[in-house]
Amino acid sequence: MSAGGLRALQEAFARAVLDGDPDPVAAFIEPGGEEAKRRLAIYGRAVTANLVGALRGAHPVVLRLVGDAYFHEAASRYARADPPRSGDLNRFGSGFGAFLEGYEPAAAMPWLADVARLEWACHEASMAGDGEPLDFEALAHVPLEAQGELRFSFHPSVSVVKSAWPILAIWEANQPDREGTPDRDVGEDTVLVWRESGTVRAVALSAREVAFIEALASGLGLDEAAGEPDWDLPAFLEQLASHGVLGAFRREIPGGPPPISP
Amino acid sequence: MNSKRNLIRSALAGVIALGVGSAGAQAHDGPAPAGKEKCYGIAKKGQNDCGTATHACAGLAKKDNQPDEWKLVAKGTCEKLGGNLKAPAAPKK
Repeated sequence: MSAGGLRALQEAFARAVLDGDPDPVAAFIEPGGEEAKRRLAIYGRAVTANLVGALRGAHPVVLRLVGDAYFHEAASRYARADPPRSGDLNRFGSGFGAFLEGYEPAAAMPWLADVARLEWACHEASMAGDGEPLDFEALAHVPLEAQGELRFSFHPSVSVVKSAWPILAIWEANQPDREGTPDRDVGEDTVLVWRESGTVRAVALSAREVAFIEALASGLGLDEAAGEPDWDLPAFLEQLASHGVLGAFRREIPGGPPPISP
Repeated sequence: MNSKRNLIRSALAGVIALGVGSAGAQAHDGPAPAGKEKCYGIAKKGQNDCGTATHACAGLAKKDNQPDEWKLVAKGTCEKLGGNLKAPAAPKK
C-alpha cells in the first residue's frame, strides 16, 4: 500500500473509531467472528471511554457540577471534535474549556468553561517540571543599585486564569471535602495556579498583583514591573518567594540592549 | 523615586531573609531528595488511571453513545449555584 493509501486507511479508521462511521474502513477488515462494523463499534466505545476517563480525571469539579451523564455526553462530543494529538492521555483536554464555551447545552452555565480552564491549569501544574529554584544566596549578593533591574522567572507550574465569574469560589466549594455551595456568588476571579511541595494550589489575585506578575512574566525588571509604589510589594513578593512561585532571576547586563516594552 | 527604590530594597530584603531560614527554598517544588523518586500527577490522587480494565469494560458494556435529551441536562452540584451566580454588574475599565 502506498503512503497516501496508508494515510487514507488510518483516517478512515479514525473516523470509524471517533465518529462512529465504520463504512469507509469496514471493507478493509478481514471477515471472521463478529461482523466488522460491530467489532469497530466495540473498539470505538473503548477509545471513547478512555478519552472521557482522561477528561474526568482532569476535570473533577466540572464533573461534580454537571453530573455523570451530562459530563459523558459533553466529553465524548469534545473527544470527537478535538481528538488527542499526543499518545499521552494526560495531554488530552487542553481545549475542553474552549469547547464548553461554545457548547449549547451549557449556555445556562456561562461560568462552566472558565471552571474547566482553571481545572486544566491545575492539571498542567501537577505535571509541570521543577525548573530552577530561586537562589537566595545569590540574591543577597546583588548590589543595591542593580536590584531594580532584576528579572525573575516563575516555577514552570505557574499560570494565571482570568474569569468574569467567581470561579475560584466554585472550584473551592467543589473540592472533595466541601458540599458544593460557594462562599460567594459574585466576583471576577483571577486565579494564580502553581504547585508547592507536590500539591497544586490556587489563590485569587488582586488587579495590582496580576499586573505585577504579568509584567515580570513579560520580562520586565523588578522596578518597572512594580509600577507605582502605592501597594504592598514587599509582602506580595515575600509570599511569592515563600510559596515557591518565584524561580531563578537574572541581572540585566549593563550596557546591553534596552528591554523591549510590550 | 527614592521611595520606590526603598520599596524594592525592602521587598528583596524580605525575600532574602526567607532564604536564611530556608523556608522559601523548601517551598520550591524541586528535585526529590536522594533515595526518593518524584511521580507527577500524584497530586491528583490517581484519578486519571486511563486504560484500566474498568474503562475498557465501560466501553464494551455500553450499548451505544446516542445523545439523549436527559444527557444534556446537568444534574450535579451546579444546582447549588443555580441562577444565583452573577456576572459583574459593569465591566471594569
